[in-house]
Amino acid sequence: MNLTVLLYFGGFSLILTGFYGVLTGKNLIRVILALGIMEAGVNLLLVTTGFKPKAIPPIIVKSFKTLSLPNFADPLPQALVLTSIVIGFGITALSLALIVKYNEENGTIKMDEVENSEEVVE
Amino acid sequence: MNKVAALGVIVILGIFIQMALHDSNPGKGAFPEKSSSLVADSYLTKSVSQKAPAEISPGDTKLENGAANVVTSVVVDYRGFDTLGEVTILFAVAAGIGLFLKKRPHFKPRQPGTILKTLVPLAVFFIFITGSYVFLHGHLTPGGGFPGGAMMAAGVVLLALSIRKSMRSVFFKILESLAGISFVAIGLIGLYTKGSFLQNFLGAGALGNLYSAWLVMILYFIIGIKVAAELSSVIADFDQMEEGGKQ
Repeated sequence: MNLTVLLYFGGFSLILTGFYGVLTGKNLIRVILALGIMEAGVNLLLVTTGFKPKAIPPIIVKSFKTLSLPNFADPLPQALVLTSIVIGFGITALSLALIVKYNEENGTIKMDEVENSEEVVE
Repeated sequence: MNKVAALGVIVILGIFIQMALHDSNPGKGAFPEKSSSLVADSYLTKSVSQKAPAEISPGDTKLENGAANVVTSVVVDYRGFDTLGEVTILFAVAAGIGLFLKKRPHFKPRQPGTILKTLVPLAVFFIFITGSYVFLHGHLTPGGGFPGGAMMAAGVVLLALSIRKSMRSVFFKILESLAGISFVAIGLIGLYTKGSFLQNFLGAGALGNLYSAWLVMILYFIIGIKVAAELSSVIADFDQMEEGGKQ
């Protein structure tokens, strides 16, 4: 199998796995983990768009003529994914803080347990 | 039942992603026809706003940008404004966590063991050196402010675990704000001297030297400090509340 196709397939299946986890998860921590898996899939997909077979990393260590570029990997998706990883960290951290508050309010981090014991206030 | 519905949604999503990947219209899809010009080529030949030199070799001066690592030149120089937004999001995260988890009773921490106490000073020394190496060499080697800052924050966490006094996040928040302000200040200096926000006003230097690409180096130093302070403040906020949940 072609390596590019394999990488695409990997990113693709990671996104779908994560999305399934987000849809079916009851435990909030697991939902956050599933979001993390999904994010890893998106990052893999993005980075793979800059993938070229037998490319060298985009760091200039040898001289080259600008008319005939050597086979550099595309630096732009890598730079964008760097941003996306940081945003992913932010989402995870902030939602964990929200889970802490949720746990204080409800005494549990499972969504269905709260629905059953819900009392209408006011 | 829920799971079946979820599977259905996933199949539909999968079909959409598949269609987007195999879109054969020009400029779309993940497997494009051999395109004649990529944006990345002008980043690689350092010719976004000036004509590309005929040949690029290490040691060249007078380039548009002196960073040998093209990814960092994209992140900090060409798309520096983007990075400012990213750093702002990190600030918002740290502030939000501070808001959610504030005013909690401090707890009596467990005493650290002998192994932790003896080995942490040694380990933290090397962690700090590696972290600062990574963010000072961002323009030459893979890495940069974000991974370097994360390493430094790991060192701070180790120190906090071994000393075991409850960390205060205020110090880190002040440090982080100072770093953010200096990021914007450097952008404004570029605006004042060269006419565009975050423009390189310090010259390129010789490609591949440690002392080159001054703007990238300084901005990555600031980002490194900022990320380290931010991650430490997030951890300090979480740390404070450990016992608060139960009371």
